[in-house]
Amino acid sequence: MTNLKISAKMHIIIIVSSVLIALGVAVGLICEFVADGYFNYGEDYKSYKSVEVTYALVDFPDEDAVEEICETAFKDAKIKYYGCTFGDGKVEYRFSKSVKTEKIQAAAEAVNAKLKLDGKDLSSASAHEISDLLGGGKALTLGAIALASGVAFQFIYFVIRYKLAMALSALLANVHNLGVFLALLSIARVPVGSNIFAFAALTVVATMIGCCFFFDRVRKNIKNEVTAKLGAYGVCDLSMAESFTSVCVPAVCFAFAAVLMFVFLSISALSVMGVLSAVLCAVFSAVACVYGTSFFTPATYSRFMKLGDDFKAKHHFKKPVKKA
Amino acid sequence: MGKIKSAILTALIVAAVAVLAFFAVVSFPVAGSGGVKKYNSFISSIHLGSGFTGEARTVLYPEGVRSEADYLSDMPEIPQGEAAEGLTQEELDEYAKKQNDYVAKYEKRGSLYIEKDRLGDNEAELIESVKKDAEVLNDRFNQKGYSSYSVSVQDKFTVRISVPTNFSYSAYKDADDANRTARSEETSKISRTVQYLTASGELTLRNADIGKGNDNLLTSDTADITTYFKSFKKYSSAKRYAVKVNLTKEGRELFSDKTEQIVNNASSDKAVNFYVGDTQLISLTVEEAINEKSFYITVNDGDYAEDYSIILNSVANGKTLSLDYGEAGDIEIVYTSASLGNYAAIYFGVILLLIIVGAIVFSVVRYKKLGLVNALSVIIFALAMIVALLIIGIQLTAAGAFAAVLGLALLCGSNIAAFEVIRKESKKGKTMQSAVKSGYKSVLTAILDLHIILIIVSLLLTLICVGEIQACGFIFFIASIASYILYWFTRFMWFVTSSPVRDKFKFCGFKREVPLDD
Repeated sequence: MTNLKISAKMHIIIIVSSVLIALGVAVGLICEFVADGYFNYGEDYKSYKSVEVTYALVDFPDEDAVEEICETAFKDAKIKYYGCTFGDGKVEYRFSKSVKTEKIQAAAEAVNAKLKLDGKDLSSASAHEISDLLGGGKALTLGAIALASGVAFQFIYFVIRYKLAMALSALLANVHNLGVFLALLSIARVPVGSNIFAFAALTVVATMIGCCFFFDRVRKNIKNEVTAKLGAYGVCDLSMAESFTSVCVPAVCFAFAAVLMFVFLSISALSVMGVLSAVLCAVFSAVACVYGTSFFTPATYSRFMKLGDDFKAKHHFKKPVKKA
Repeated sequence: MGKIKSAILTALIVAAVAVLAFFAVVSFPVAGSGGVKKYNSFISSIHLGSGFTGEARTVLYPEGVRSEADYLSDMPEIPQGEAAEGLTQEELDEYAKKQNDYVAKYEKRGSLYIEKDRLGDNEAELIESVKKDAEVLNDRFNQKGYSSYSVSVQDKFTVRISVPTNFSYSAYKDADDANRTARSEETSKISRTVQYLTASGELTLRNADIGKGNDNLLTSDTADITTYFKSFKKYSSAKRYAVKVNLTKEGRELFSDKTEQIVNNASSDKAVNFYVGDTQLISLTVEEAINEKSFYITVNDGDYAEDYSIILNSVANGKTLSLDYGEAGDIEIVYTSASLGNYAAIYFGVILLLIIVGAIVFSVVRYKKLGLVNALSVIIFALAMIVALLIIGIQLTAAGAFAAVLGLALLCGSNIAAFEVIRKESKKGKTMQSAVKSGYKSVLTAILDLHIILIIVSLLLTLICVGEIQACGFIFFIASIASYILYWFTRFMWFVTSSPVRDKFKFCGFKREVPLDD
């Protein structure tokens, strides 16, 4: 890390980021027109099909028997469900929208026939189609506003706490990191729900923390007579090398905590897919944050620093000498 | 600080934490109740999201649309066997005709039975009306601020609504004490909310004495009620709840006129009753004529006030349901199992416990007795979060718990950062006192920065967002404040516990490198 001269090679970082973001936008746009949307919207926003079984406790005191009948019928119909909930004498199996309606109806009829064997006519099964899923629209809009406010707050805070150039670099870093995070979500087609804002907020927070560590080091190195002589690129590279661990630790810790929690949840839910999206969101958030803060921020800030130094030097020489 | 003072202070704090921890995590049968009553720990009384305690869902059937079960149960039967004995052929034919007419009236569509006159040319209109009503209902439920909910169209002709149950773990497992919020209280809250928010029909004002027509209306049939009201808002102050009614100029004139009539002419009914369709919501008891821009109608409960204000606002703004979804009593609510598995809450508790134990073990291994001081802060942090969640009544979801874990990471990170700087300072040959002083001073701005940033971002999420993200923001806000307070508490306890110790470097697991000059 210490030997890398990142600051002078901003063009490489910009190329990598641009390619990543462009790829994300391209995949998103293609999916918007030919598939199910810019992002792979999760269960909260997706239409689905279901088989609902209503069983009488007199006939089926043990719900395992109902479950067995359903499992066999679904296996025979060659269809797979992705979610199942029990409650109040009802079981609902959820199927993806892409599963053929005829197959689901045939399976529901098979379940119905088996439930009603031996004159047990109090139980039944029916197939349903759930569409136009509403809910959370306001949450998404307000989440976006909160995120934008967070980024704006960071800019104001950095202007007060550090310098305008540092605040601008941090603002760019935030926009860049969010862009990379969203591009990764779009490319990987991770199912996203309202939790996307929680992880986007995490990206903003981790970027802010990382930028704080980096700019603190920059300030100390500028004040130091020996390191100040390294110039804009040298100071930024040195500061990044010194603060690299501090930048990585919060982001990696956040991601690790998320992975740990959601791994246990997947054991509980007996479904990896259900919680995989949260884990991937956390990992993408950490990757975007570490990459953006460690590589993009020093590169942009060194440019601002150099511009400032050049501007100062120019004005210093042009300063008219006052006559005595 | 002296040895005795230090020991007493440490013992008092540890004992208080131990007692609080016991009541926070241990549930037990109440002695003397024969095992009937049970004390539920704080942790099992926290309200949980639908991932841990399931959801409540219902399907609304518009008039003329029936489920298979309802269709079959209402089908006229033809007497058979013993019941048919003594009946003439004509009577039997009459029964058969009734059944045939009933069957001929409906057409089967998937799992639904729909009256034929609602299909054909009217089918597209019916489908469109159901879709529009789903949007109106979505708008109403959106204002409840649920951590997760959904309103959707099921099988084109019905509306399906799902909301989180808001059960605590003890309520989910039905092991509640009678003195605590029982499962039945939560289910009745949900039933009431669903009943009010799905009310069909226009807003009307009624009075039995001076109202006109069969419905005792205070306004004429042609009057546009939306011109009378600006808004309805929930109002709460010191555990008293009300609905604040803001009137327009026309509304003020109407209320001034009608309330004066009620005061002068009404004998038995001295109230303005607010109805949506045929559902009576609130009543404004009139003692004198009201000529104000706004007034308050007191209600018993905060949830009532919220439900009333949402539905009244919706209908007063012209967002009424275009179809009739039957009587409130007809709505069947199903409570489902947790979507993350029946034991998700237990697994989740174990994860959180493992994370806490991990943090404690790491700090004890690395910092010896100083690690125990950090462990005490970690335990207090966990207890503070449990108590805050219980008192404020925030619904805990997986994302919310993640926010709390991040708060814990923040506390441990802050403490470890300070300990590491002090370790470096002590290696320079400084005394422990001097190393601690300069160490805390050097990380002061970084720690303060970190906490200020996190507190403000979490506050933004709390104030701007709704639902799960808002809950996460609020949990993180509390966690960040707790983290900063406990960061300084750690510093204080370090001083208290290490004061009587002779070798202060050994206490912290640090090694002092004595300079050659010494």
